Amino acid sequence: MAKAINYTVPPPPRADAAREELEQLLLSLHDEGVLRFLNDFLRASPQVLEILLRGLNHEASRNAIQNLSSLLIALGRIEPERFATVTRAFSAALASMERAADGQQRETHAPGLSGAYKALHDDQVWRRLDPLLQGVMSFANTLGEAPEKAAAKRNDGVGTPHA
Amino acid sequence: MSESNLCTLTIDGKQYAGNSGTPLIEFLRQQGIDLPHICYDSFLGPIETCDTCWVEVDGQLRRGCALSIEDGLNISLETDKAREARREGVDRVVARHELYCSVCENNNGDCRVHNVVNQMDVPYQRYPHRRKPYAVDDSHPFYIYDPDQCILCGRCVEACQNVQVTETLSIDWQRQDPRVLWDGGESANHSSCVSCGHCVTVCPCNALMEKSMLGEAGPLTGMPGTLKRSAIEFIKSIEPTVGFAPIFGLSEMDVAWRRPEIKRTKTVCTFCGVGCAFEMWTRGRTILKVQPVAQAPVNGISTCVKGKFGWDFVNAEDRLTHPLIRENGYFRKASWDEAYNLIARRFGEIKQAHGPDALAFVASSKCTNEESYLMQKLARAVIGTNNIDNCSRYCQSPATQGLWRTMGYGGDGGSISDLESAEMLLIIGSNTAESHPVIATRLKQAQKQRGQKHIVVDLRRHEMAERADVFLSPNPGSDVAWLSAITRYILDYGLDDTAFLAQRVNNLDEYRQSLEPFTLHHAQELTGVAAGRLEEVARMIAGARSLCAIWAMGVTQHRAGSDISTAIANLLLVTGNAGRPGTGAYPMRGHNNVQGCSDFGSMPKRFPGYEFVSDDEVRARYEKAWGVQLSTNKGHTNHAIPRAIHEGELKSLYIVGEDMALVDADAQYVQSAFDKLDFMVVQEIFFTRTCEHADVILPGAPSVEKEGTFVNTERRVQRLYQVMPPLGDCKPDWQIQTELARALGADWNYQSPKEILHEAATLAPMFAGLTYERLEGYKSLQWPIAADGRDTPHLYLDGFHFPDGKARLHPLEYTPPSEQTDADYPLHLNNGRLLETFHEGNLTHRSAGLRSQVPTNFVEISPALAHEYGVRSGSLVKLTSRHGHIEVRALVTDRVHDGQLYLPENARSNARAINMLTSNVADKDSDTPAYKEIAVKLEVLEVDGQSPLPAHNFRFFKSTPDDGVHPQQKWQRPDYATPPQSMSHPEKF
Repeated sequence: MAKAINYTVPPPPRADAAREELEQLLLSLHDEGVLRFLNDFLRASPQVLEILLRGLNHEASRNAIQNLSSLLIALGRIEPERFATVTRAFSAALASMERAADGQQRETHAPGLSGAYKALHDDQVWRRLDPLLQGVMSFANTLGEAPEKAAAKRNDGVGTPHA
Repeated sequence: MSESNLCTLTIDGKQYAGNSGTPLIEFLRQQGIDLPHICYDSFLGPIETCDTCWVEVDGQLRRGCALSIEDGLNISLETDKAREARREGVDRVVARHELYCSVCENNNGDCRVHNVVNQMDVPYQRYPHRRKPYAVDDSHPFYIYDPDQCILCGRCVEACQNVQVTETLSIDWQRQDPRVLWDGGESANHSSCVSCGHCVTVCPCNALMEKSMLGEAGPLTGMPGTLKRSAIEFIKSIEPTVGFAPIFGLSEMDVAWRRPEIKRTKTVCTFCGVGCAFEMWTRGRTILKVQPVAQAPVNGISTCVKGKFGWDFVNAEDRLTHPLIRENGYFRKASWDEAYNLIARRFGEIKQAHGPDALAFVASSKCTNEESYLMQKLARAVIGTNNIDNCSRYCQSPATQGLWRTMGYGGDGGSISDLESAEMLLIIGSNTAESHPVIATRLKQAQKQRGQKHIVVDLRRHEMAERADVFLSPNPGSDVAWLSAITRYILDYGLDDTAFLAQRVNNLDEYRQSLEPFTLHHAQELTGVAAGRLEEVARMIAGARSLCAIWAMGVTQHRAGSDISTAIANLLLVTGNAGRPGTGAYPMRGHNNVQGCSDFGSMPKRFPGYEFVSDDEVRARYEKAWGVQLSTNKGHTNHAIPRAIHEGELKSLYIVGEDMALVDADAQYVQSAFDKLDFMVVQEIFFTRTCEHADVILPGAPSVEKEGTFVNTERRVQRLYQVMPPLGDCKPDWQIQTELARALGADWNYQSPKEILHEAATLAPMFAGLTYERLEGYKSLQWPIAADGRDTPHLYLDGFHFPDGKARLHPLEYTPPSEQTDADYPLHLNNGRLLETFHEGNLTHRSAGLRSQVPTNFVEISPALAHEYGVRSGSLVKLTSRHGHIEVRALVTDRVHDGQLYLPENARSNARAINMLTSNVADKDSDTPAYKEIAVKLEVLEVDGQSPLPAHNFRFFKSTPDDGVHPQQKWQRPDYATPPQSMSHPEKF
């Protein structure tokens, strides 16, 4: 005889999700060699750090770090739209210089004083200086342009087909 | 490639050849060319809304998705004009969709919007994204709709209107800010939405998203909403300077990060016999989502609410996770060895004392073919009894009987594709839209798009009846009368298929004689359907070029269930609607593997592949393979088991995955029988009502925790893969059976289901060519399967399954229903499924989302009857039959006729279970309980109460049928500009 009896299934203990994830992380770090690298690095850290600091503690390195910091600080002061204009100006200048240089393949000699004077009237000299001048002019012209709108604002003037 | 269909075309100046009519996008894909597209999907076809696929045809811009290849077509993909138009199109898409891929749940490598923007190298956001004037709709229990992410591609609308054909979704293109609407409104959960999930599945981005994915999909998606918004704003603020490239780089990295975590596993649904296959996405044990795929042979991109969203039970807190043993009136935890040893000892003692036929076994229609095979082998080879059965006895055994009598095989005559292609369907006693929802989608499609005619015969006005061309509602249990009457009419008026009858059918004369009593007027008396109406139906059926018959429990669960099934088969044969494409008999199998459970031998009389145990030659084959002498004693059906227990013949019972205490008819009789058992083993995933009677409970595993194969209603064998390991100490059922057999002294050593299937295929000719390799991925085979792997999508193209290849008309007599209404029990009580629940509810009741739609069961009552009894929706009523009583809340609805009630079967306690009311009467030919023959009286216990169906249930809403997305309405808006022209407000639509 087996009379019906009820039973309430107890809820299972909550899976330790954090521990499972940690185990998975450990396995992944091992499989990808990251653990080995980190172990090796940690074991050799005094030596590695000493080498690193020795390398950094030269004047040139110190200057580089300081200059890089100055550059980053300066970059932080520039609006992205304005900076995009500067980088575009450089690009335009370089392009102009390259185009101008394409036509200048002849040999050059030191002109001397009279030669320099003559050179001021020498079309060939002006042709050779032209790339540089074009570059400067192009750079200056671009800097003089109004700051460009952000990409997302480029089509506020609706109906403009894209390039 | 057939030569007649071959065409040549030019693409960018190069000649190609292909099949005329192939969609251009598909053809280009075959050539290795990926034309950008978002709204187009091979399953949905062209929608023409996203404007990203422009090509030039003879100098004119055309949407590529709308083109099919044809002879002489001259297409240019890479002209400036086409490129600019595509770019304009995708820029508009990005204006409507905020790209925050790395924190987006949909960034899993298959986001169509992400992939197209990336593919087209869109450098930056040209049109700004502006938020729409609509809030996120998270009213629905299963998905959200985010208008800000919606690109208005219309895929969801197309899927809802023309694939699922629930017809809820639309886009109102006339609004200032168009959006997707639910029945014209803005709340998904207050609509006719049946939660099938089609819209979410086809959404090309995260506008429609499964709630189960939210915060779970990627390492960055789980961050709090405010933090996520800040991160999005930060990225958007630098995007104008850096462009999309680095942002897409980050999101591509995010896709890669997710890949090791998210597992995508093909599995097969366990909620009905349709056999939907799909990918289940999981992260650990968390089910992220169910994603159907186009290559799934049955369902493609389709699912129903249960298959898409109903899987909470897998991780339910009350899963059984270790064996339990009854001891001193309590259950206590036990080890597997302890449980096995106890079972082995008690089975041995009972066998020793009373013989092997004192033990009985019930296999599970929810378990795999391999597990069915082992269960019958355990009963026959290890114990030595043919007392083995399964729950097909509760549903479709009468259909099998009817088809064995007339056509030869006990399975669907053809495939679901035959149902789709038929000119006409005769749907009898099948609430297909709720019980086999994905098949219903195909039928509704055929009706909506190709004008297929539906004759629906049912007691109840369900969705298929609402949509029917002809709806008949005969008196309960009278189907043999009207079926035989219209068959006689067809013969009498020479409307039969004479040639077919002469060439392919036997026994016409005897059958004709048996039809003598079945005049239309006699049928009218028995059925209540006017003779003229029956005549009209007879002429419709006779006039159809191809007709399939679909039936389900409304036919089979009667005392004459086998006869009604036979009458349907007779009608098909007389009209020549069998043995050719687009015709045949299609009983709808109810559980996921109820077909396979019988196919693989869990029946008293038959081995796997339906060979008889009584056949000496067949039995010798199994005896040789199994190394034992097999019994030829007659075995008990599962419906006969309670009686055999009461009569002292059976002492022990082993039930796998079947809540027999509630689902067998006359539940009190069943439960009192279980009380008398000497020893009972139940293998389950939850502590069910049946478990209460057990001595040992073994924790099995649901389908997603094991491998195996299922057979669907169209005889299609499909493979399921393990999605996640069994919970706790649970074990796959095949493993439990193997270990138990070893404990019982058998030399079983199966290491995998593959080995088991191989053994079954070696022994059963019907499955000779069945191998795991041939079922790999989404491959499938329909039995019978020849040794070389050839399968049989249609059973009778080369003749019926009898020695002379001819079908047999089977004479019938009318048998009235077992329970008649009278003055004491004046109401007929019908019963069956609901879309949102499965069977008694042991699985679906554990889904909060599903329960939010249908919190409890109830009884449906017509308005007139409700008025007569003073009942309102929410009234508590007592239903009393000649066998028991229950108390449930009432729902007043015109789905039921006056004088009839309908009770869904979803109840897990005696207090509300339908089988407290059913009788022990069964089909006279198959022993299937006459569940549908109940007479009751109704008493009102409380007039006022809360409606058992919440006001947001889809049944309270009217759908909004439409034929599609109507992109023309978009193009006709004055503010729409055809690409490559720019638009003033592309973010709007």
